[in-house]
Amino acid sequence: MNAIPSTLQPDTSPKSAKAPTGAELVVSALRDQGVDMVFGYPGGAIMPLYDALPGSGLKHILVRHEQAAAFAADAYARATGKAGVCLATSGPGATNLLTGIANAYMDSVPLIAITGQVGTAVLGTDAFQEIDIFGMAMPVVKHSFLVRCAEDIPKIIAEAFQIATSGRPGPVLIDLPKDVAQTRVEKPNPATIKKTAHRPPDPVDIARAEALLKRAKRPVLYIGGGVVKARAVDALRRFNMLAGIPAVSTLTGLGVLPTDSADFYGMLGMHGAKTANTLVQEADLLLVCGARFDDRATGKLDTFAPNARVIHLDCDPAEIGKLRDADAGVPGDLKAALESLAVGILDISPWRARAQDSRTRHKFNYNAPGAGIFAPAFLEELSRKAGDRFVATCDVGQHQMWVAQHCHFSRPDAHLTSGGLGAMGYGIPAGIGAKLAHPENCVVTITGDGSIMMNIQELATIRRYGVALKIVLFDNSTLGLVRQWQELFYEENFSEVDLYDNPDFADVARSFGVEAFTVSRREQTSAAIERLLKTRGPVLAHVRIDPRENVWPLVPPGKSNAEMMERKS
Amino acid sequence: MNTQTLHIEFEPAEGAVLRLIGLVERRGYDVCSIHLPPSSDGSMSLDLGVMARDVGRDIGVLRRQIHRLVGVRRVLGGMDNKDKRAGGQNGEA
Repeated sequence: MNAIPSTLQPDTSPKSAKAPTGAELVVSALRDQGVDMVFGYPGGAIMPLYDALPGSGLKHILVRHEQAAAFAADAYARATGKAGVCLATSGPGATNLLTGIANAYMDSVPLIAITGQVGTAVLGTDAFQEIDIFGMAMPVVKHSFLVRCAEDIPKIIAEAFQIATSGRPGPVLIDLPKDVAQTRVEKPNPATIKKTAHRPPDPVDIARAEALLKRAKRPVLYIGGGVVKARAVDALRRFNMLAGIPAVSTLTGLGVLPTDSADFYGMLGMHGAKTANTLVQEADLLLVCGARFDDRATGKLDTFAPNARVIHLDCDPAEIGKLRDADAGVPGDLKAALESLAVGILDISPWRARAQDSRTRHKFNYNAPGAGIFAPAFLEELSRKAGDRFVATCDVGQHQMWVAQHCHFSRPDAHLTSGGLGAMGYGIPAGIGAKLAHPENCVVTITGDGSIMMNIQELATIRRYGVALKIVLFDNSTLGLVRQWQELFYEENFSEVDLYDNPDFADVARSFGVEAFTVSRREQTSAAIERLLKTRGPVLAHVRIDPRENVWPLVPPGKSNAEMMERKS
Repeated sequence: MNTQTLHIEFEPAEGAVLRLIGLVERRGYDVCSIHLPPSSDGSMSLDLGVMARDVGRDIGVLRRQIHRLVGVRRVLGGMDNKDKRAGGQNGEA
């Protein structure tokens, strides 16, 4: 049968004085959820939704690749605390979103991904641009909907936002067949959503945790990104202002305690601070808040914090005991748990003194040999001079670790990074999302010459919307972190990491209409930072660095955090 | 490693069964048997025989991972590693 089903024929009658279409219901439901900005890319199956956008009050940001739409919406969500929204068409549009959806899943970011789909009559027939995105996305979404009935759209959108933002946040996919989007709806089903209350912590669990804390002589506060998602940052800061426990953080927990706090000792794990890893290994108690014992944080798990008892606070009960048994598991509302913990001032002066002494002894040395630009020193100076409005959005690689190690963060939303997924290409779209969310912030994308090429087309988006994003591109003409591992663990067998034939990135940026300049000598560092910070519009600093520079310290793969390397042996 | 049986009660929805079985397999368990009894009251239940692919997997964690899926009402069965050590009863999430 070749005839197009009548439900797929476009409705060409005037829009006014008619019941809304499914697509119009989507738009109004998004507005009802407080959405003001969406990121996307149009195509065949999602055309009804794009037809409903003009005049809707929703600001649409047209990216140049769907993956960037998902990354930008992810960063918008991290920056605002609201759900981010991205749109794509069926088939390749939808599959291009997947990496961004997975990124949001791994880092528990509230994201609503709306995909067009072929009409219901041809679903399952291998129709043009038909892909089972509902099935493909299942492992990387908190939940998903395939909309079969246009009347359900307001209810589904409201549910999707509720699911994405409640408990442990995450992405929700809404797959919208074209005919459903075109159907006129006389009587939509109302959006009645049950508000899910945060599960309060059990007083018995709290009492057990308090008893352990009061007995501890060498406690460490282990902070994860879950503290941010649970909106428990202030509660944690208040708790530790009293308790004074030496604190370390995962990559996504950076900024929960300001970098310069007296009790903060840096990131733990593979590229963590020497003192942070040492404290954890020597601890007799870990107070774990919103962290999941990720392998990049723990190193070899059965050697991690071998003498420590564990108190684990997390809003997701499934995380407690997943990788490390808890002596006191406290599932439920993390903020309430922290507010309930009454331990007062702990008598741990010798332990604190030891921690402070270790920090002094292991202070990072920014006086690297040579005349080239030293990326850690560049980043430390940049974040210090940018001040409290500084926001870093990172790509993935050596530069990402240098940012985590050397930038100063006064709040967690100052550091947006692809933590769990480690997705190269996140940096620039995330910078767009973060800057559009808070134009008053000094948003800087830190990228590398490998990562930038994953989404370099988004320079066009920056230009189109005049997004005043600052980009620092560390260019060592190699895939630096892979090269480092090949040097250290693969007997210097440098395989497919040489990017000698990179384009001139400053020329590329200028061809997109973005101001750019190149620096390579150390004495240019301060002037380059000044120029970056003073430029009003978008600007790219192309910073050439030595390809032999490695990220230190480093815990070798499969080793204990106690076996950190501080230089090549 | 022994087969354990999980009894899962959930709300019927498109993809719900696929979502449940997919999660179990992704989290390191083989699905050995499936029984989906007919439903009369609008709810659904699924009995899954599962076996861990390696030692150290705690079925209590799997039960909680299933329970956090949207639409899952109750998960019964399987003995946690901790309960096994203590000679305890089957768990619930």
